[in-house]
Amino acid sequence: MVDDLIALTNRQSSIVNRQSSIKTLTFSQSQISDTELLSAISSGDEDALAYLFERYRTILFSVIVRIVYSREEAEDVLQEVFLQVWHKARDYDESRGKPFTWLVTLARSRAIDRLRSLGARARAVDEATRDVVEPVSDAELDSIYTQKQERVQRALSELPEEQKRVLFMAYFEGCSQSEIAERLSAPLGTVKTRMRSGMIRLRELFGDALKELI
Amino acid sequence: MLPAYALDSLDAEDMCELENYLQTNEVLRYELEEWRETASLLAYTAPVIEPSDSVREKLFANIRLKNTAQKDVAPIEEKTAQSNNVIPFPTQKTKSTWNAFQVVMAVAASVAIVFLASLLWMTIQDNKRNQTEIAELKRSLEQTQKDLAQTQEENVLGSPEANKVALAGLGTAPKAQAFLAYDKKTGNAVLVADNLPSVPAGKAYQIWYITDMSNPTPGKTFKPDANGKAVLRDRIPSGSIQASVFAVTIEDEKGATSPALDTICLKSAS
Repeated sequence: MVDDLIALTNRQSSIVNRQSSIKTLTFSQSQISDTELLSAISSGDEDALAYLFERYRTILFSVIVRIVYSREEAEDVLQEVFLQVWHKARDYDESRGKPFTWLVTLARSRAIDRLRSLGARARAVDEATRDVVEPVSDAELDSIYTQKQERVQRALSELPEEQKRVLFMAYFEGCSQSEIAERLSAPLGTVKTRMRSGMIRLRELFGDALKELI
Repeated sequence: MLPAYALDSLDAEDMCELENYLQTNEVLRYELEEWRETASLLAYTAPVIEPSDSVREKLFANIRLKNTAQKDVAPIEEKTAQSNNVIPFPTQKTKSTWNAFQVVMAVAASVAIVFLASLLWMTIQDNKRNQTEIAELKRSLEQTQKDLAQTQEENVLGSPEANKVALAGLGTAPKAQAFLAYDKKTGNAVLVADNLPSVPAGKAYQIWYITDMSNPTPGKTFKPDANGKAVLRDRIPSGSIQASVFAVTIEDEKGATSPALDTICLKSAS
């Protein structure tokens, strides 16, 4: 009981310290757009990278952990992602998409690569021996993040289960349509239809809110 | 196939086929980005986990280490350059004698150089031809895009189900007139305007869709040509599709989020 309290206190101190370090960043930096941050990073601005890291570390790490199921591997991948941002920021082209989409795609892609390189060894890991990673509570999350999460979850709750499953297998497990068809013992055409219908429905459900969410 | 491609879930054969289309079709590439945006939102479904502070520390330590390593290389190169101040002793020249083998090697080297130079020249010519072809393809693509935009415009303007609204000139453009046609299902809209005065540098006209007078929805900006004519293609957001009033004001080129009401120059009847 005492050890649990100490652990909880240390965790809260870490969160407070991080929040303090964010507050010491200047007001003007809090107004800087992601595009401006990437532009500064491409000029070698480490502060800009630090700010971008603070802004996106949680969601990117969450996606990576969801894919590789190991905190250690996920932290390694997260570091690789931001090193790639550091070296490739000058290649980012705003006309091709929003920074959020670029970053999430980068993180997911790296995580899927890591998952594949771990290969059979990773898949054979028993549930009980996987790193236990405790999710952050709502109270500790940024309120905007929570709102966005709720908005997305609400949209997904309107999808039929079979469409959600196909989307998650593609997104979080890196499965191709053929692989999904094989694993679900479903016809390939059915998988293609479910995937397409699921994405179309999601886009309709997000509607104009999509631009605010990314 | 675009949604599946956005999820990186296409099988190899389908992917090849789609990538061939994507290379030459900007409209498809734009649509693919929209699907990628939708797919990226799945990130919010992952349980939220915080990384440890050590990730940030390792990241910046790594970056600083690489920066330091790059700086260390430069001084070493400078030192090497500075130490090259030794004057060598002159050496006696010796007669050069070429034996048959050396002659043959020299000839072979000359032939190789000529061959490589020809290869280089042919490559340059090929490159020029490719560039010409690329320029042609670009022109063709631009024409296709113009044709597509025109078709979309004709579909809206010519559809009997499209809503049509006339806008009259006001303020600094009393003679201006405009006609807005829009499809309530898709939101596709086309504004055709005439007798518009030119705008000052850095400014443009902007259309507004008004369901609530206290909160007009901004549309795109546009500028008239030298004859005062303009055609604007826009998409009315779904939340404003029931707009009952439409207006045009003069704003900054990049557009505004709320209208400068003193610059209204076109307005529909309420």
